[in-house]
Amino acid sequence: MTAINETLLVSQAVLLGDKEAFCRLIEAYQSPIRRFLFNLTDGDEELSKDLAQETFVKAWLSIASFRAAAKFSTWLYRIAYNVFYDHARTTKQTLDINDAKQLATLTPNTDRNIDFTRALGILKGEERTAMLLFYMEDLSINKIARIMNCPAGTVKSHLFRGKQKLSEYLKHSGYDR
Amino acid sequence: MIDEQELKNFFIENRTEIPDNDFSKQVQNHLPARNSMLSQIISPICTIIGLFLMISIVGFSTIQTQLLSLINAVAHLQIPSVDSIMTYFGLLAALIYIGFSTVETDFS
Repeated sequence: MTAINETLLVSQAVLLGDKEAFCRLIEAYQSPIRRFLFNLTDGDEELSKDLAQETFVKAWLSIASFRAAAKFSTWLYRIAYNVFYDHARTTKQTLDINDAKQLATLTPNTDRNIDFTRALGILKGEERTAMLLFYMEDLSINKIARIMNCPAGTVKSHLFRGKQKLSEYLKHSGYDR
Repeated sequence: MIDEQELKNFFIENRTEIPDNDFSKQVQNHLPARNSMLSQIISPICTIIGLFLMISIVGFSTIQTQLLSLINAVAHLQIPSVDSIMTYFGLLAALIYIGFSTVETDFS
């Protein structure tokens, strides 16, 4: 979707309350948002779908507060991130690097078919979020910082630790062979 | 050690496009009603302009006379004139509408 089309659709939704225009925005962004939430929820398809729906409903209700200074997609990711963390109040039990090695050796892989969800499971919530937004959704560190509402330096720290953990896990799973 | 490109490839290999399958329509059907910003801005403005025109055309003194006539009639337990009652309720309705519109407008 071009920037002009997006601006027109957002304007129609804000000024005229046009649901059809907002629906076209949903069509454009439902895949990345649902994919993001799917990976955050350990591959729970139904839960990620519900959270995605909640994300778009919240976006509709607060669209008047959207400022064109940021991209619409960045603003949507921010809402999705908050929706997910509102839902997941409990702290995730995550593995440290040593546990990652142990887990990888228990199920040795001789090919590159590594379980993606399992690999992400070794990361803490913020690390997983930063890694997904950076490597999978191809967002810049500044945009990720706006989505996670933290400084860019904190995002870099999450990425550093995430890369370290995942690299160890993949190495011991035989990904680089 | 896994390098940066291999790590990126790992994510790209697992990146899938999720088909819509009527998801957007389902969400659209669940969208609650909300007032458009345009109606929230235009309605109070039109009301204020209407009031201004009414006062400038009819005359503030005429309105004042009608309201005083209403007050006098009520004070002396007399039936007020239709003109004074209509003037009173017209002003009251306009003020209530402006008040509600101002309260409901989202200034965030």
